[in-house]
Amino acid sequence: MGQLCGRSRMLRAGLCLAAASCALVVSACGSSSGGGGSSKGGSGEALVVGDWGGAFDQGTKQFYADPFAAAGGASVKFDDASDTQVARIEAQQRSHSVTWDLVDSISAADAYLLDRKGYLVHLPAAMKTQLKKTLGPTKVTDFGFTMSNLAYVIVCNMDRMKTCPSSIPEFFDVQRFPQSRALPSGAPIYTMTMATVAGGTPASATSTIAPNLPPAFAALGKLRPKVKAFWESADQSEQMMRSGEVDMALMWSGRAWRLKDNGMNIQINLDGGAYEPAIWAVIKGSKHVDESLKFMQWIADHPEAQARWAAALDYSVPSPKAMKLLPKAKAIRLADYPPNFRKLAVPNFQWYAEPKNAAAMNQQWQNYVRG
Amino acid sequence: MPTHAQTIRRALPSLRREGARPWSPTVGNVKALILLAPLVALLVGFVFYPLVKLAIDSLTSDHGLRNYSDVFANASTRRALYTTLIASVIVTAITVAIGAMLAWHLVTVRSPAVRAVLWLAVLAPFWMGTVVKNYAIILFVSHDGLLNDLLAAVGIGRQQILYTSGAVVIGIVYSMVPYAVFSLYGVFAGIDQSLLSAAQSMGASRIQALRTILVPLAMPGAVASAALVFAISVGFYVTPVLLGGGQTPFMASVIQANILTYYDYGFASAASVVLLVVATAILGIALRLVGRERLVRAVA
Repeated sequence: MGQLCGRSRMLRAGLCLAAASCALVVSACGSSSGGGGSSKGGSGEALVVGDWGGAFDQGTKQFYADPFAAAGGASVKFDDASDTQVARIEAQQRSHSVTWDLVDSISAADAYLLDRKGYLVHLPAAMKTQLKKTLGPTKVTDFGFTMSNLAYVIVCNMDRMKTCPSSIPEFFDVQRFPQSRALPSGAPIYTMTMATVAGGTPASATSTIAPNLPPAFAALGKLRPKVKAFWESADQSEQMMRSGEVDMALMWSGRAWRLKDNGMNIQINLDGGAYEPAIWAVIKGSKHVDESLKFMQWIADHPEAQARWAAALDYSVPSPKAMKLLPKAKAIRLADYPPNFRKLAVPNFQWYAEPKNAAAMNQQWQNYVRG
Repeated sequence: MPTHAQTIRRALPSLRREGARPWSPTVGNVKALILLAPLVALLVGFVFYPLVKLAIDSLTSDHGLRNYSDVFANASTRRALYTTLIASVIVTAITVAIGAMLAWHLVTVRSPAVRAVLWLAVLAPFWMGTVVKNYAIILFVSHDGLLNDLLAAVGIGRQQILYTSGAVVIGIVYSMVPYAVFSLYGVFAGIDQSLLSAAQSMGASRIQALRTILVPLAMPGAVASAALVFAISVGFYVTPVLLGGGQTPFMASVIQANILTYYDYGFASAASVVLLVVATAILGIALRLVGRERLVRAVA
C-alpha cells in the first residue's frame, strides 16, 4: 500500500509538472498571437493599435483615444510593438490572424512597403478628399495620413567646432569640415535622400524624381573616412554626441532638441535634411474597419488635440491649424512648421516601395556601412 | 506530548509492515521519463521545432534556394560572418585565459575575504542587464572615459577605442568571463593540489609542475569551457551594435537588420542557418581534436 501510494504520488507530481508546463506553453502561444490586445471582433469592442509603448502610448491615449471614446467612439487599446510593427503585421497577415485594427506612426517607407503587399486598407475616396482639405495634400496618402513626423537634422557639438555646416551639402564637405561624424545605420532611404542632395539634387525635387544613386554614393564615399560610427537607435545617437565620441551627427530632430534642453552646447541645422513622415493606417483584415476609420477621422478633425499631443511628445503633427495653436517656441522645433518643412528633402517613397529599387539601395548601403 | 523522535519511531514499524522498500536515490526509467517530459516538451517546442522551421523557411520562403546564394554573394554578409568568427575566437582565447586565472585563484586562495571579492568580481556581470553592462563599458572606453583619461595622464594620449572591434571584444569578454570561470572552477576543484607539491618536491620547477601536471589535467575542461564561450559569443547582438557603432558587424546584427529593417525573411533565415552550420562545424572540429572521452570526463 505504502509503495503504491508513493508511486502514485510520484506519478501525480510528474503529471502535474507536465500539465503545468503544457499550460505554460499554451498560454505563451496565446499571448504571443494575441499580442497583448484583447479585441475579439464584433461591434462595440475595443480597437487595438500597434503602437510605440511608453510615453508615446500615454500621449496617444490621453489626447486622442480617451476623448474619442468620451465622444461616443470605440475604446482603444495599445499593443506595444516599438519598431517591430512591420514584422508583427507581416506575421499577422501570414498567419491569417489579424489582431490589430490600426497602426500608429510607422515610418512612411514601411507604410508604402506594407501597402504594396496589400496589408493596408485604402481610404474611401470621399474621406481622402476631405482629409486632404483638412490636413493638406502632402500629409495624406492612399492609405492614411501622417503623424509624429520627424526631420533628420545636422547637430554640431559647438564646444568642438567654430562653425557648424549650415546645410547637407556642407555636412558632406570634408575639406571645410574635417570633424568626425555619426550617421544613422538603418532605414537607408533617409540618409540616401540626404546624400542625393549632397550629390547635387535640389531638396525640393527629391520626392518626385528617382534618386540619382552614383553621385550620392560618391558623396558618401568621400564622407566615409570621417564617419566614426553609425547609430542603431535614437538613444545611441544622443549618447554619441553627449559622450563627445563624435563632433557632429545626422540625427532625429526631437533627439537633437533634447540634447539642447539638457544643456549641451549644440547647433541644429536642417537645411537639406530628410523629412520622415510616419503614418496612421488601418490594417487589412481588421474586423473594425469602419470604427477604425472613424477614429482616424476624429484625430484629423481635432487640431487642438493634435496640438496638445505635439506639445506633450515633441513630435510634429499634420494639421496646419494645430501648428498655429502651438506656442512658437514649440512649433519651430517641429518638422511640419512651414519654414522648416520648406527646407527639408522629402524622400521618394513610391520609388523605394518598388522591391527592385529598395533591394539595390539597401544592398549598396549595407556594404557602405559595414565597410 | 510525544517528541518527534517518538512519533517517527512509532511510525516506522507500521511502514515496514506495509512492505515499504528502503529508499533509493536512483530513479526508474519510467519515472525519469515522466519527470523529464516537461523539459523535453519545451525543448521540442521552443528549440527543435523553430530550428527545423527556420531551415525549411530558408529553403522555401521569398527566393527559395537563392536565399543562400544571396547570403554568400553579399560582400557585407561575408564580412559579417568572418568578423563574427574571428572576434569569437579571440574572445574565447582571452576569456578562457582570464577565466582560468580567476578559477585557479578561487580554488587555491586561502583568505575568505579575497575569495569573496573574487566571486563578486566574477558574478557582477551576471547580475547586470545586457544594456547596463554595455553602457558601463561605453563609459569606460569612450573618448572622455576613464581609460582615455588614464592614457592621457600617462602621456600616451586619447585613443579611439569605442566603435572599434577592440571595444566589441572587450564587451563580449566581460559578459563571458563568468561562464568560463564556472566551468573551469569545477575542473580545478577536482584536481588534487598535492600533485603539484609532489612534483615540486621531486625537483620540478613551478612552471614545469604547472605545465606537466595542471595543464594536461585541466585541458579537457578548458576546451569544454572554450566551446561554451565560443558557442555563446557567435550569437552576440547588442554588444556589437552598442560598442561597435555599426562598423563591427556580427551575423546576429545582419540577421536582425534583415528581419526588422529590410524585411527580407528568406535572407535572414538563410543567414541564420549558415551561422549555425559554420559555428557547429567549428565546434565539432575543436571537440574532435580534444577527443570525446577526455571531454566527457571533463564535463561529467
